[in-house]
Amino acid sequence: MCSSGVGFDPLIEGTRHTFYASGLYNGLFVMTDDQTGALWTHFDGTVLQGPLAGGEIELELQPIVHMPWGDWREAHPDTLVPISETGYENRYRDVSPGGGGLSDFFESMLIHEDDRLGVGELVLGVNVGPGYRAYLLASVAYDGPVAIADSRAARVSFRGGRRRSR
Amino acid sequence: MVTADEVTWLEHDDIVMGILLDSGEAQAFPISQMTYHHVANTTLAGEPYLVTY
Repeated sequence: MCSSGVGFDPLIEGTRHTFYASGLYNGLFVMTDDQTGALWTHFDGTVLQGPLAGGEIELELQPIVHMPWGDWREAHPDTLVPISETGYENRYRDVSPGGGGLSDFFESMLIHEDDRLGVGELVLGVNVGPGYRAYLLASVAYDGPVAIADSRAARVSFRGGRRRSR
Repeated sequence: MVTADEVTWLEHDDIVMGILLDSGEAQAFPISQMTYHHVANTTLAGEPYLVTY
């Protein structure tokens, strides 16, 4: 499974688009927006198929933080949380990001396998400038709220996500 | 949405995805829920936000 949480600004040319999970593609869930019916990947916010495909429209990435609930609550005591009684609560389950391996079903739908890292190896994804980089999460050091990742090319540091108010 | 004080179903180590504004307003989405729903269309301080997992 993908174990990938990503945040986006859902405004496209000033209009809010709303999304729902609509299928699977290349080992990932894909989503459809109610406004156009286009099919999107949630990895980078680009259109796979539909009326917006082939253009330059993509969703703008937004900071999102992954952390234990106890730490998040301590840091942000006024946080809000979705209700748990949604009618689907019996489907919710404890998950370990990166755990669980890759089932034969998911492996069979992969278009391209990349063996540079093991299945389920967690990375910190960063997009700076024209490209994307992935840093092994296990190798990331922390200095308070600042994460420091080294690679052969560079050392980068970044501070936990906070979105500017418009 | 409910406040943190109303949350009784999450343990300390349960992973959440958090979004935060400069104003300090915050929302947290447990991945135990997101693994099922995959998508949350939410609004924070009047601003739309899309959370995916």
